[in-house]
Amino acid sequence: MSDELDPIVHPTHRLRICAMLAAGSAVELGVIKDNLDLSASALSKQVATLVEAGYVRQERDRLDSRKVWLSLTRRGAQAYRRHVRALREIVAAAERLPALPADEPRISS
Amino acid sequence: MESKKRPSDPVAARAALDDIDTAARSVRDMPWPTWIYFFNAALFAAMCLTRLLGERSFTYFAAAALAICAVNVWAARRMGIRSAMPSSTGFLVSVIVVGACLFASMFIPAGYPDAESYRWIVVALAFAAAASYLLGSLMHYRSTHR
Repeated sequence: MSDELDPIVHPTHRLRICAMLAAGSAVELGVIKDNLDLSASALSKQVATLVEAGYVRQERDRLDSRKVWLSLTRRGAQAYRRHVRALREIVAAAERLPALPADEPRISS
Repeated sequence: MESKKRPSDPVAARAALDDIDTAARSVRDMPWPTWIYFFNAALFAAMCLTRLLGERSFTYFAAAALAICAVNVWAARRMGIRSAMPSSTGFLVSVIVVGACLFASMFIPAGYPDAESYRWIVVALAFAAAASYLLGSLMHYRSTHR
């Protein structure tokens, strides 16, 4: 069975957030903000979408309430892995196709 | 509006995969505080040497292992991540070597082949663990400070 791209994960910034959370199990919001080079409000919108979809868990640090930790939920981790597999399938399928001559029109599906 | 349909553009898919790799590496390859390399190397060597402490060696071994875990978790939290596997292969290989040294120091029969040689073998394992970890640390440091 082939995997489908996830519309929640798909936009670039959300995909990067998920990739960072998948790599670090839980990541502090400030680290994500520094790496994505997004404004606080723009980042907050992206995170809110992931939280509303049930893909990301948001927790305040018990020792320092200014810090917010993000982590992927089980559902979010599954959706992210499916999304990555779908991207790899697209790339692999393109590599299996014979290259078309430059002047031949490509048919997009 | 975002489409649920799979895009047919492999160039965009490859760019997304590159993006994922970059984002993941930004977490996996975050620079560590320099002191932690020396702290870990010293405690790994100490863990090997606890074998020479006789009957209570396991207690000291476990205490050193707990100290390593606690300090590394604390340092990671200060960096803003809970845990991440570094991408430096050299570093990961050095950690496997450290594990082998620890394993050997724990399971080498006491007093084998004789008391003096046994002490030297344990000291050599401790030295190998620290040296391997420091070498791996150098590779890790270089991979995180590009």
